[in-house]
Amino acid sequence: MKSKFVLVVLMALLTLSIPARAQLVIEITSGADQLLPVAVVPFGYTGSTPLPEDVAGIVQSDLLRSGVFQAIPRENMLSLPTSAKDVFYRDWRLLKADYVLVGNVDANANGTYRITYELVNVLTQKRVGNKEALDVKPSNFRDAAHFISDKIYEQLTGIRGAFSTRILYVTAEGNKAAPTFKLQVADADGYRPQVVVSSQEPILSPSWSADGRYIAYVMFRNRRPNIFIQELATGKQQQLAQFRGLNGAPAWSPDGKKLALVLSKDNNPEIYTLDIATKKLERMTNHYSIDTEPSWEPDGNGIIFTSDRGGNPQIYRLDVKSKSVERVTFEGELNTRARLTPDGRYLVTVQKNDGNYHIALQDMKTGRVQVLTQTYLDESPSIAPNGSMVMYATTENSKGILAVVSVDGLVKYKLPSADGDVREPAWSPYFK
Amino acid sequence: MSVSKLGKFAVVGLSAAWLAGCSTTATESDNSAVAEEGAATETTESADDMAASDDATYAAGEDGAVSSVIVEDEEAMAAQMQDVDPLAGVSTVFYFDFDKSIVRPAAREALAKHADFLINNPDARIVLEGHADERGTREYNMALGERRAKAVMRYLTIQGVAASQIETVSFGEEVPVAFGHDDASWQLNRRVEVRYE
Amino acid sequence: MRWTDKESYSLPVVLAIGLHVIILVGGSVGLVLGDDEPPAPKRPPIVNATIVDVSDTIIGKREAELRQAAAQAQQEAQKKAKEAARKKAEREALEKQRRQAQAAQKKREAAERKAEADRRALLEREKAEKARKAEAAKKKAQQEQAKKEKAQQEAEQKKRLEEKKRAEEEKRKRQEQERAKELERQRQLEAKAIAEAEEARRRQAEAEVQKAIAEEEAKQLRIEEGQAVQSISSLIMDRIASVWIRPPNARNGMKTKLRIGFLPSGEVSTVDVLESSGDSLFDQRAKDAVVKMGRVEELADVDYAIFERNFRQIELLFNPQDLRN
Repeated sequence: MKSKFVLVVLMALLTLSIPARAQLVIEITSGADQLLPVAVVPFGYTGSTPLPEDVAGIVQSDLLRSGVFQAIPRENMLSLPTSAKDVFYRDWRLLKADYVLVGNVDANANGTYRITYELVNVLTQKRVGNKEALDVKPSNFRDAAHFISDKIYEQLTGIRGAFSTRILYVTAEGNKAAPTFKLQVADADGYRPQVVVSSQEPILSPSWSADGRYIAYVMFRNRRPNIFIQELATGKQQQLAQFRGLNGAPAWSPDGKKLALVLSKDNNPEIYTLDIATKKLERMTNHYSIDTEPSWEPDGNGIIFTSDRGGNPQIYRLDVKSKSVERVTFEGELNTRARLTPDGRYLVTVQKNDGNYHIALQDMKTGRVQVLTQTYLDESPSIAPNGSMVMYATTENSKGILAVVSVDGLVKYKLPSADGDVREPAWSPYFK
Repeated sequence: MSVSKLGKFAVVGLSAAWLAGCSTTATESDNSAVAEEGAATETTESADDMAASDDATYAAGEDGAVSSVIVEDEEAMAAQMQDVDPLAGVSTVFYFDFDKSIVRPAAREALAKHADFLINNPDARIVLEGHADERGTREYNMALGERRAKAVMRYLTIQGVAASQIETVSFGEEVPVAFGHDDASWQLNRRVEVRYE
Repeated sequence: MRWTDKESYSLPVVLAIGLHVIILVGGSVGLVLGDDEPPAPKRPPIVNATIVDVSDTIIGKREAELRQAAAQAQQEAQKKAKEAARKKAEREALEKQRRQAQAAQKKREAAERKAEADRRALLEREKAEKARKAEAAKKKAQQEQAKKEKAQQEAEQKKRLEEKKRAEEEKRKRQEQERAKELERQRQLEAKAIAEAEEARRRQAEAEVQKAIAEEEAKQLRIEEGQAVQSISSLIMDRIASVWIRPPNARNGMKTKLRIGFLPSGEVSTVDVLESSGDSLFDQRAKDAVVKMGRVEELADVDYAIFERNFRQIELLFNPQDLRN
């Protein structure tokens, strides 16, 4: 609509004043509400032993989940090239594929496999980037696939892929009245879950260290909450000093040196920071209301948190140096458990409107707020390290599940269902 | 373990029923919804029965719901009766309005009995375990549960109980007693439980 | 008395000198008083002639001396002009007396020497007459000559004047003629200029009318061309917009300008980035969109001149305004 108007104006100008030889300029101000069509051709393999994973299939799933791409169904493909030189472009133009990923798997002598892949632009009929090769063990096929997905995603979007990242989440399994709580870690697509810790008492608030090596979480012991730090690779667990009352909401600082947490040892919930090396505790807030759910700004200069000091829970920002506090959210009946995108541009909160709890996105530059989800009892939003997606917990058929919504609200998907109630997702940072 | 827990839940349900029965003025839409929507669990069923009979106050507490509890947890009930526990039949669960931490008037009588007991037994220690319903975020609900526990604690200390006898802990929404996603379940989960150590 | 002696020349000499003096004095008095008083009565020419005769004939060699004396007397007279004037009456009276005495003596002497005197007087008269006649003739001749010359001169003068006048007249006439000619010429020039201006105006007016017609036609053509250009442009715009898939990091305000070459068939022949957005992916998607649009069949039906003017080469400005960010 707008673009048409622009053109009309342009043409009016042309007609009125510009002699016939003037350069015609057509302005295009809107584009297609269409996902980028990509064909992920099954990778070639001539070996006799079956492969542990369908690499191209995993890549295609990854790309589809990102919400940026649409895939050309395999059954529609007219040919199955395994290298760029075999790509017959007219076939793919016909299928309306803009880009084609081709690859091949060969068994190496040492039991590993060599995976090669190439991405071609059907329109320009040129390869995008180079032909790449990976040597992988059979157990790492999923990793290889996610790695390829990351590369393709970055080449086609300009944004670093987050398919190789992982997620933490908590499940409550078994008898509802006496469930078993499990803290689990899985691939970002929900595959390959591993239990980190299991308990008969509640586990909540898992949090990643900035380098992805450590996690922190709250686990009850003897009916009282405790904060634990654990090294993922070794499973080495460390319990922080326990205080009377609340011990909750641990959040790692971006530099990995501090943990923001909530203690009510001084009567009501306040935000503290704990220097992990020195064990020095510093009180950051001082208010008779509830102050909780701290989360660091990407630069570590501020901590955003939930407080009902204004009457109902809203998000506030705490300046780490001055400890001054300012309110950040104003829309919605309440806003809680905020997280910032890695670029600091957007604030994701759990917002209540008309009795419903949904994930909302607030543009920190414009103040504009958009509700991203329409599911039931949405909570615990966690943002992918590339800022493109928000994973959150919701309730479906009286069961807690994990779902993902793109930051633009257009893409939504659910993670494959795990046993029991699933909750408290925490998206890992990039692993260096 | 699971058996005793079940018994505990039964008691909780009973108390809830009793409380619901005698606090019609305090209960708002939360309780009225209970009757309409019904409940999935046994405990809420009993709560429904009680809510239905408006004037069946204390007597209602010894009604069918009690017998059903006895059926399920005979040993525990028998033990209580043998000891002639001064707190026998005294509610240990106190309910709250949504997003509120005000002790309801209906809870005063029972809390007064707990206060008497604690004053008379200075060595006795209680833990007030605060809970929230599933709505809202988990850590905020942890704080909300604690706020409820502290409200009860304040009520007790005003009665003369030494603060040193009381500890508050919050479970937030992590340990519900009702598992529906409705007002009835949420009302039952917004609670403070008194636990003697 | 000796000087009354008939043989002596002394008396005539004295008389002559006296006469001279009187003449000179009278002349000078007349000269001096000439302006104030009525001129002295003209002497009869005979007296003059006599005196001249006397001086001429008698003095002879002593002419210079006499002249000198006369000059001296004249000087003296001049010197004593005032005095002389004052004593004029006295002198005139004396003169009269002397003349009466002279006249009386003359009578006597005349009588005494009548013959001699008569003869001499006759001779002298004759001689004087002769001289006088000659002189008169000469004078007359001279006068006539002068008169003639004067007349001639006057005639010549007149003639010259007339000629001059005529010449001037001619000149004037000529000049007038020339001026008239000049005026005529100028009039003609002006007339010509006016005519030319008129013609020019007419031509211009005609040209303007032609131009207006041409412009109207051109405008009509331009409108038609504009309409054609607009319809094809909006077609291209719609088609590209429908296939332009922006990368997720695209933002409103990013701008990429491409230069597209079309073949008359409507096929895209070239795609070049004129101005990059600074984001290679954004640029690439814009180029991809152009390739995806493919052939614009409608261009094949467009008038070739219009195609050449407008679509042989166009620019596409990709300037998203509809993005969320």
